[in-house]
Amino acid sequence: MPIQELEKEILYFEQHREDLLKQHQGKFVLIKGDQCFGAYDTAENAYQEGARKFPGEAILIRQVLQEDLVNEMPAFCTGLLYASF
Amino acid sequence: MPLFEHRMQFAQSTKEGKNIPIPPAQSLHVLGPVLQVVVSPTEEHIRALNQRGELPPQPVTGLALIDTGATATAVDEEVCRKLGLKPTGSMKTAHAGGPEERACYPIAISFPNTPFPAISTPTAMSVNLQFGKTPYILLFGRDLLVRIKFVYNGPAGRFEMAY
Repeated sequence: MPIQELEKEILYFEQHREDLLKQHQGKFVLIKGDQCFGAYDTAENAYQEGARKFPGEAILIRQVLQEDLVNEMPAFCTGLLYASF
Repeated sequence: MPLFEHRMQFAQSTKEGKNIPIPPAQSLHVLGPVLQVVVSPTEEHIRALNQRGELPPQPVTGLALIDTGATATAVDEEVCRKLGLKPTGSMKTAHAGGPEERACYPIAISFPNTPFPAISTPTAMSVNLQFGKTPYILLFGRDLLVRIKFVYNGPAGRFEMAY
């Protein structure tokens, strides 16, 4: 499972969410292993820095919010995307 | 601002092997606003591969659906596997059976036969898009549409993108 590659990073984020909210609410943090490598205004900026520091490796880029956003894709999730007559 | 206008022009094959054109308005209704895209690793990932002396993978060409109902862009999980991508995060998506967490990947998207330059996103959500009659490789969500003026002309069977 691909997300297992980021198990450590996701755990770090969850454990430090409250601290991150105090300093970087709304920003995109870059996490590798059990370390945070900065907060950025956009996911693109975080990715460019992450790709520079850790070329070709899995990295975690996540927006610091009280609750994570849910990607809504109603046509896909309800099966309407493939409805036919 | 480059403008791309696409008039839907599809045909249906008969048992005898004839192609019967489907009117543009009906094509757009049945298929939705679709266009050919090429999905490849980002420049950053290709640079990393070059540094390691590895050849970049072959980009994947396929159909993308412009999905104004999707919050974020989704890419087919098999495409991510073929390109050897590394995850950049995860995202929850709402399913009929409850929420599911899916891996996200950085991708570059180019638009052959259009005046558009390539765009990239560091966090396209990977899902299985290959299970229907029309196998998509990408659902273009509002995270990318925020950069694009999109006009849907139902009666004319045409859509326009300016970017």
